[in-house]
Amino acid sequence: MAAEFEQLIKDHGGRILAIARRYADTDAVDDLYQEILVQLWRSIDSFRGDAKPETWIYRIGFNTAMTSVRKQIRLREGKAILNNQSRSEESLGGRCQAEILSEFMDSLADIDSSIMMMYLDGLKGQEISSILGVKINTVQVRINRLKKMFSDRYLEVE
Amino acid sequence: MMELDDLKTTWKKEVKMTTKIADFNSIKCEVRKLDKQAKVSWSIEAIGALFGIFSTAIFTWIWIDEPAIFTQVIAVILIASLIYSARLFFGIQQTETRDDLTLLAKLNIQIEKREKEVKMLRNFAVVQLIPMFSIMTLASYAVYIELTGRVMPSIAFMIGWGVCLAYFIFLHFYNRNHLNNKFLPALEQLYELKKQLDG
Repeated sequence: MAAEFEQLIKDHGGRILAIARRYADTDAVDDLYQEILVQLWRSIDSFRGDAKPETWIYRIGFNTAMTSVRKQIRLREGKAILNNQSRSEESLGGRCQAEILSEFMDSLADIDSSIMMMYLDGLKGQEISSILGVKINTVQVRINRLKKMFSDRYLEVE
Repeated sequence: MMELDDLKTTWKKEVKMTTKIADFNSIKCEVRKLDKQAKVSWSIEAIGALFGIFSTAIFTWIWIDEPAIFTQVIAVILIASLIYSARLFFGIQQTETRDDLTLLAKLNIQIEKREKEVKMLRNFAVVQLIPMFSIMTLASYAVYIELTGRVMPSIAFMIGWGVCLAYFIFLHFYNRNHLNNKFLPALEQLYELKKQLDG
C-alpha cells in the first residue's frame, strides 16, 4: 500500500500542489500541501474502489482545503509560479494565458474556482458532482456560467 | 475570441509542475503524531472526568467515616455534573450528517460541529461555569466542615473561594473571546461556502 501511495503522489504531486496554491496564502502553501498528503494517506482505503486518481485527489484535496484550514484559507495572493512559468507563452492582448487563468481564478469564489479547476483538468460533470455532493445539472449550469463569464471578460479581437 | 477551454492546456501544465518531493516517512510520522495527539486529548478528558468522579466518591464514602447528609448530597451533585459535562464535551464530536466524502457532507459535518460548539460557548457561563462554581464552592465547604468541624469558613478559605471566582470569571471572558474571534468567523466562512455550493 505504501508503494502504491508513493507512486500516486509522484504522479499527482503537481495536482495536489496546484490545489494547495489555490486555497492557501503563499506562506501557508507548504502546510496545506502537507495536510492534504496526510489526509490522502489516511483515506487511501477509500481510493481503492474509486475510478480515477484525479477524482480521489480533488475530493480529498478540496475537503481538506475548505474544511480543515479555516484559519489560513483565502486571501489568495499572486500566483507567482504560474505567472512566471509561461511568460514566453502565446500572449493575448499582451498577457499570457497563465496570467489570465490566474486572474480569472482569483476573481472567483472558492466553489466556482474548484469547479473550474476540475473542468480544466478534464473531469466530467458526473465526477465533479460526486466530489462536491451537488446535482450534475447544478454543475453543468455553473460551468456554462463560468464559460460565459470568461468570454464576457476576455473577449478580444486579435 | 478566447474561451475558457483554451486554458485547459495551461492548467494541465500547472498540475504537471511539481517542485516538491513528498517524504513518505514524514507523512506517516505526521499521521501517527495526529492520532497520538487525538488519543491523548480524549484520554486526558476521560481520565479527568473519571478522576473527579472517583476521588469524590472515595473521599465522601470511604475516607470520611460518617459523612453528613449535606456532604453526600453535594458529592452526588458533583458527580452528576461531571458526568453531564463529560457527555456534553463528547457529544460535540458526534454529528448526524453521514460522511459520504463529498464536499457538501464535509461542510455539513463541520457546520454541525461548529454550531454545537458555538451554542455551548454562548451558554457556557449559565450551563457550565455558574453551576460548576456553585457546586465546587459547596463541595469545598462540605469538605471544610468535615475536616474542621466548623461552620464558619476561615479568612484563608474565603480567599480561596475568591481566587476560584476570579478564575471562573477569567474562563468566561476567555471563552467569549474564543467564540467571537475563532468560532463565529469559522462558522461564517462555512456558511458562505455552503451558500456558494447551493447557489
